[in-house]
Amino acid sequence: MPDRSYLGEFELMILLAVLHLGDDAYGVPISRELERHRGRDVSVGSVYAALERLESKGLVASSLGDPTPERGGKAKRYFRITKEGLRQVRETRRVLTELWRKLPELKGESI
Amino acid sequence: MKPTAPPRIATWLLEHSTPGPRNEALAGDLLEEFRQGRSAAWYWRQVLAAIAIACFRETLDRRTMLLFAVLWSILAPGWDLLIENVEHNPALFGPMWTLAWPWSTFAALGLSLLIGGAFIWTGVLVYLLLYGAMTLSFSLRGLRRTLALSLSAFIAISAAMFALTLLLPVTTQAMNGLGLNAFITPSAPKYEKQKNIYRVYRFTRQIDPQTGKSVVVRALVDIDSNDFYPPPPAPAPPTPLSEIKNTNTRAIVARLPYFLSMIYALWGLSRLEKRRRTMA
Repeated sequence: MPDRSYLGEFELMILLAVLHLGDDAYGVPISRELERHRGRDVSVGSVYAALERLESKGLVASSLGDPTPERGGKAKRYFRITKEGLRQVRETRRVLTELWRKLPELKGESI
Repeated sequence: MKPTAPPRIATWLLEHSTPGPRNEALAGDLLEEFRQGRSAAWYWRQVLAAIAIACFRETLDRRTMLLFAVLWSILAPGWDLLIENVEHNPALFGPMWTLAWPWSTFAALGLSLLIGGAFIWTGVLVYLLLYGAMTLSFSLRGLRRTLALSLSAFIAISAAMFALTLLLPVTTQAMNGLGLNAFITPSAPKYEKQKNIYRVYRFTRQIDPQTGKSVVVRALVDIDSNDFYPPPPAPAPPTPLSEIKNTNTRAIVARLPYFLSMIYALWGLSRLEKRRRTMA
């Protein structure tokens, strides 16, 4: 039976950004990706908070990289989507697409 | 020329207020972004947002504990009244009140702190029984540490609050039973402001006109003139239940050391457990 706890908007965006970035998905590029598409500043702290929430739900997994000098000797934390995460992204897309399809076009403009 | 190091205070705040491995990765990310051209204002904004999020999450994670600490500290004035009755029981602590100064003060202070500590310890144990035992497993060492920490926190917070209330104007202290007046029992003198004259009810010795004998009566004394007034109708004596329901300033101030000590003790306990679970 499919899980009915659908993803929140921000969580879905983060999962899509992680999917898009592949092996290079850590805090900085994820935040930049979100900023680029949303067109406004993103708090890196809120990105990490959402990623931790997703990790506790088993939708993403993380691993520490090597510390680098340009980061003051601090390691990067890489994220990758899990099978369950991918399943939930697909499920959310299916539901959203169905809802959009059923929406009648507004007068004089397409949605 | 743009500085290569981000604001030091912001970095210090970030490192000391966001827990765990997330802290390191987040700090590294912010530093990387700063070195790639972000401004100091951007860095500050990110740090403050990260701290706010961390505080919110920590509070949310511990909402049951916070609620329990609020409820338990509401009971504190009732406990204080019960204890006061026990302390003044001549059969139990009679010899303590006859000690010479300063031993009597030390003994009374020590007893009050010990009894206050016992209330907090009981609270910690009740919390563990009601909630903690179901969700967390505690080591005996962790529990001992928590109990010791809660007692030291209670002593420190009580002393700090006492010192703070002494900074208030004397009349404010008197009106609210704070500062040195905190030692006045809820059933003893009450200060009232009548026509800008502060009056205090005291127990005093007077000659009974009918019998001619010296008796102890409760009388109203004008602080300024030291005149005695006819005794006002005695208020209903406080009960532990009425003290629990009490929301005046004295009762709220009396609850604060208990509340803060409970939070301190239980916060430390959940942090220990969190660390243990992370390591496991």
